[in-house]
Amino acid sequence: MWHANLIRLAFFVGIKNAANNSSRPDYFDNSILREVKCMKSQALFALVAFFATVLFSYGSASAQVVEKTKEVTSKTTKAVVDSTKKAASVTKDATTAAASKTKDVVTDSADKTTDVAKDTAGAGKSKSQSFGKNTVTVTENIAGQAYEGGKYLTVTTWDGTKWVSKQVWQPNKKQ
Amino acid sequence: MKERVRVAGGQGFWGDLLTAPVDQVRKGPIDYLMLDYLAEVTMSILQKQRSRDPNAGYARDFVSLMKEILPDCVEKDIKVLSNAGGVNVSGCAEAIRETARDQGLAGKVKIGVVTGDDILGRLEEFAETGVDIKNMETGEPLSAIRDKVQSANVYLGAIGLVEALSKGAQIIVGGRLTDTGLTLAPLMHEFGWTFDDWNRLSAGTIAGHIIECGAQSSGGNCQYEWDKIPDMANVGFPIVEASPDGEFVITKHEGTGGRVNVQSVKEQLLYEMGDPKAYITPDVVADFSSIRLAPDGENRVKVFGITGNPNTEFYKVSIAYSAGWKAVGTLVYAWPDAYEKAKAADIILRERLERLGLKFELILTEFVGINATHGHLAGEPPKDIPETQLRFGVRGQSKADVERFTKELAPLILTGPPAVTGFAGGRPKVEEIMAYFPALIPKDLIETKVEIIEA
Repeated sequence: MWHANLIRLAFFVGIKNAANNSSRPDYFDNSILREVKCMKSQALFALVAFFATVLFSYGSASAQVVEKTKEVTSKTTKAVVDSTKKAASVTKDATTAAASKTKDVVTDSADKTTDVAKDTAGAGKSKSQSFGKNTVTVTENIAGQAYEGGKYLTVTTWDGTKWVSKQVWQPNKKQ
Repeated sequence: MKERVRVAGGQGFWGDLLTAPVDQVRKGPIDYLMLDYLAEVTMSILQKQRSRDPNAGYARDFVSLMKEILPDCVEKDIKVLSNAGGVNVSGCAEAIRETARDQGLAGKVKIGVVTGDDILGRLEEFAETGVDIKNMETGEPLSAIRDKVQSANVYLGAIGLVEALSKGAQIIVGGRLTDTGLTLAPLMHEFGWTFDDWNRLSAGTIAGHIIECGAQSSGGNCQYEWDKIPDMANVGFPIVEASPDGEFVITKHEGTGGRVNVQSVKEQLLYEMGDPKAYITPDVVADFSSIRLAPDGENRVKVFGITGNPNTEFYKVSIAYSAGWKAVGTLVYAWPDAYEKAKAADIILRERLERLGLKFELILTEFVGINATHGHLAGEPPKDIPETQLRFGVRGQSKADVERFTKELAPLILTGPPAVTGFAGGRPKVEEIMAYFPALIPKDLIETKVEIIEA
């Protein structure tokens, strides 16, 4: 549509120039000028319509770009969020599992420590003894917590491009 | 103090009869069950397993066993001592703890964890501080093989186990604990034997030595009248019935097969014997020449008169290191001329390996059925033997060369002497060689750690 208006504008400019030309020939009478005036108002309308069309088209295109961008952004965001969620979820799962186990141990330990503490003062502390050249250090209590060691947990995370699993040493907490 | 304590042997090595410890717990009265899982190279195997899987490194059979017998042990107050922890004692203890919890025994079982034996991570420290570690048989310094070491473990004795028992542990796991300490510890704990009561410690050590190899003292692998030993399918494993004075009886549960007599005990006493007057353990130097044996009824042998001497200032260290690669393959040649065919195949194979330019430290040929057991002492076989097995092995530093060898055995089937069989197993498997490096280390550099956890 705006192409047609552009053609009209070009035609109008050409006629107007011809009408204003002082060196116009005699056969160029007023009827022609009236016609030109009429065309002038039509052309003005066409010009406004053209700009309106251009503006509308631009606005429409912009809106489409925005929509597209929004869509892409949305998808990207969604993907990122999904990945992040997944990663977070896996990490959370692993962490939760670890935390759960740790919590389990800690809770039990706390309970047991209380019990043991009632029975034997100083429970959980290490005590060294020598038997000749043999040295033995004894650590008591402890609901699975005071002995050295721990567990390897497999933690899987999303590094942005792929899932990565690694073994993480989860030491048993000590009193 | 108890007048009599029963310690039962349940496993002579990792891979022993799985039903034996179950029978020991269920077929009669015992107070303690000792389970020996570790041979010298087992630690290095476990170390390699753990390098591939951080959760591995201990005898998993022990956990399976505990799933089966733990409720019985709790009900009957039977205490279990084992070196099943290998190179991952904590992991083993954790598995036992979970097993106990799964069976509703939380709060009813204390687990003793004995560590301090693993010195692999301390070898650099020892080297830097000038601790002289050398092969106690060859004098070779540790530095010669340091970069190939796979495991290094001190043999810990009974003291740590005694401490764990004194703290109420019902299940005790450790790493490289001596076989004998697993039996000695309950006796020290129950009878209050002190760490310098050398005669009694020697008695407890010898009691441990007699039952440490499972059924080997109750009819298994026994040469004396072997064909008259009854009901070996139902062989009973040995039990020590010990008294506070250090005397003890070796026996087995009633209704089980096998046989315990003076001869079966004597054969076991000779097992792994160096100097009989100085059997050195971390706890005591036992004098095997002082041992007296006497029949004490059916399937009962009384052991008494034992003396011992003070222990040494050193722990023995078991170091295993990677020493190259090996592969062993076999072919069976049939009558007629079975031995001659096997010998011809051996010559052909050696020549082909040489033409290929393969380098080996050792090529070893045995003819099973003729000389594999006694070597040249066996002499020449009868002419018409029905068959013989050619067993051909190579050892070298180049894994590629050893692998190439494995592809040369099968071609002998169609390009060697006739009437060959026994090749269904396919190509031989290339295996890494783990060599043993025994050493000594001063005791004051080592600390035994005992930790008590609750299920």
